[in-house]
Amino acid sequence: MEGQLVLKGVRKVYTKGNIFIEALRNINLEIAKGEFIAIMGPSGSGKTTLLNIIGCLDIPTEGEIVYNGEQLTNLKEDTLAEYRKNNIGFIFQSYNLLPVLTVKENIELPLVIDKTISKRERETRVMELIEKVGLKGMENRYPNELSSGQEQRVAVARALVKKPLLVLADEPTANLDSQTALEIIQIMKQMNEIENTTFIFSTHDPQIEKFAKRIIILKDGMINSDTKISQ
Amino acid sequence: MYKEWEKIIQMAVRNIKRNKRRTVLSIISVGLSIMLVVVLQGLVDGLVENIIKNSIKNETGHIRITTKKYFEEINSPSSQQIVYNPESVLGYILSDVNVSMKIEFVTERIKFPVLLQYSGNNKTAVCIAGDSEKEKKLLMLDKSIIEGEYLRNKLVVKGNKKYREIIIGKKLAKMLNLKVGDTFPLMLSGIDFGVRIPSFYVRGIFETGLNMFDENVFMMNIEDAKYVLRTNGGVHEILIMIKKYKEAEKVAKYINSLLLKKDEYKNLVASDWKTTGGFVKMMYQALKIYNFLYIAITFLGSFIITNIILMTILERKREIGILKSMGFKKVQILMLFTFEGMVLGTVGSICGALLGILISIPLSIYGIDFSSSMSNMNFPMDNIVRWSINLASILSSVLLGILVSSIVSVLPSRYASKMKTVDALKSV
Repeated sequence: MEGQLVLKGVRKVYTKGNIFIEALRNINLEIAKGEFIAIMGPSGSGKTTLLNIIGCLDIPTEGEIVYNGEQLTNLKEDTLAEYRKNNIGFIFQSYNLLPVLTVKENIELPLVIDKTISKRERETRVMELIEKVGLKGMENRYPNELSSGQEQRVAVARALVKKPLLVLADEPTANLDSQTALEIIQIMKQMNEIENTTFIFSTHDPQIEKFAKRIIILKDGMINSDTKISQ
Repeated sequence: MYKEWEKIIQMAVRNIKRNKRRTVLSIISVGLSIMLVVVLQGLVDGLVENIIKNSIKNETGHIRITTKKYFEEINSPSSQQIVYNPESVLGYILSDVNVSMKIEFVTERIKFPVLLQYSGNNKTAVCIAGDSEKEKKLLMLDKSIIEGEYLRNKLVVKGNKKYREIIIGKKLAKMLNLKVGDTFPLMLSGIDFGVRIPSFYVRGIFETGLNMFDENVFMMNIEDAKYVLRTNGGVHEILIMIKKYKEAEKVAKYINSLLLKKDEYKNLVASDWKTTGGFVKMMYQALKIYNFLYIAITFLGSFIITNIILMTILERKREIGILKSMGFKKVQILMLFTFEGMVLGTVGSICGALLGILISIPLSIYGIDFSSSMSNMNFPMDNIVRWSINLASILSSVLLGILVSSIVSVLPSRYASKMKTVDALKSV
């Protein structure tokens, strides 16, 4: 199936000296294109590790990740970078904007390394997204001139600008007040519906939970429950 | 491709501006090392130019024609290595238009070591016998006369005796207690092995500022030397000055090919100033060592860039993680940080070179007087050494600074490029 992501028997073990920490155990998941998935669970349950593995930022100790029928587990670092560039957008809890770039430059950065996109298209996409996330007029501001909510809007726009098939968001609203968090999640939901982009986000926020079409609960590195919500 | 590098360069430049104090520190460090290199290079270039000038003037000319065995017997008081019929040799060589068009002038010299004795003092010395008129353009001792006169090319009649004239170095004259107007006998062994004791008249005393010359040399007319040594018109050296001294090697090679064509000249050889100038050869060897020294100084100054880039990388681990998560490849991360080092190196090198030029300008005009330290040295170097401001050398120093800064930036940048994305993102 196009845009389908499959995780088969994924296990992740971290070593700290002589201590082995099993962050993920036997994770089996099938994620279809256009899903809006919340990954929930207590701290240390493996949410971030799972997102990192899905996003090819980290490699599993065991198991396979298959995207669109392509095995991703054994790819080289630069090939994985290419895969991330073409398919995945990331939103982080602490926004992670580059302080030396303006709002506009931060958003357009993922497009700069994409040789297939012309300057005009880049401009159009960036300006469209700036408008969508409500940052019009702030294009030339630097991150330190923005509020937390505005920074996360920039981060969302940056994740979406290359029209990825998959957006991974690690607790995207954790540092925001409830009103701003709601606005951010609404933007994400809107993109999910309009562009059919797959969203997978980890959260503790019950407010966000309400928007999810599927909720996966992790406990001790294992899937405790995987529930599809009918809305 | 272009936009990607444009963005990397833009980010690198903005990152440099981010921590101004650190940036200034690295620019100062690189700048100081390049300044030192430029000033040192100015001194060394000045020394080399000075030694080359003096060697060419006093010793080698641009091209020197001698017999092949001349240098084996150069210190013999009665060297048999004579170029006979120098006029015919020159006539033959100059008849070739490829040579004649490149030549400025030619002259002949006889050189021989002697033991000078006068009023109970003695000192070994070297006589340079040359055409007193032509030597005004080469040895230029006429400009260094401090007492008496330059050679008049005339016999001096004193009482009922006739004397051949000489001019003598100031320090040599002082050691022997010779004064202008004095006459002295000189025991000479001619090339016929006959021993003669002609007397000479001191026409003048010269001071060139070159110890090697002022302490050891006296000069006479070449015709007098031909006569007292019985060379039958022969000379030790034919010196050729060409219009472009850098072509000396090529012209010498061509002259050698001409000499080989004639049986009577097969025993002769033309050597350019680089080949036979002993001090010049030594200086060229020294230059190679100095080049290593310049590189070492630049590396020392640039290592601060390694430190600063490494510090920057550790501080910006998270940013590296973000870039990698977006799909930036290893080489792009490597270039981002290497470029930061390169920019620091470029700015530092340019500032350092400008500062070096500012310091070198007065030194090139007034120079530094080394006479006290040079007093006992036999080195073809003027007592006052002036710095040489050579654009090519300065440019090479700047390029060296940029290159070395880039090289020392690669090491920490490689560390950044190899950083695991997930670890980089985790850092605070």
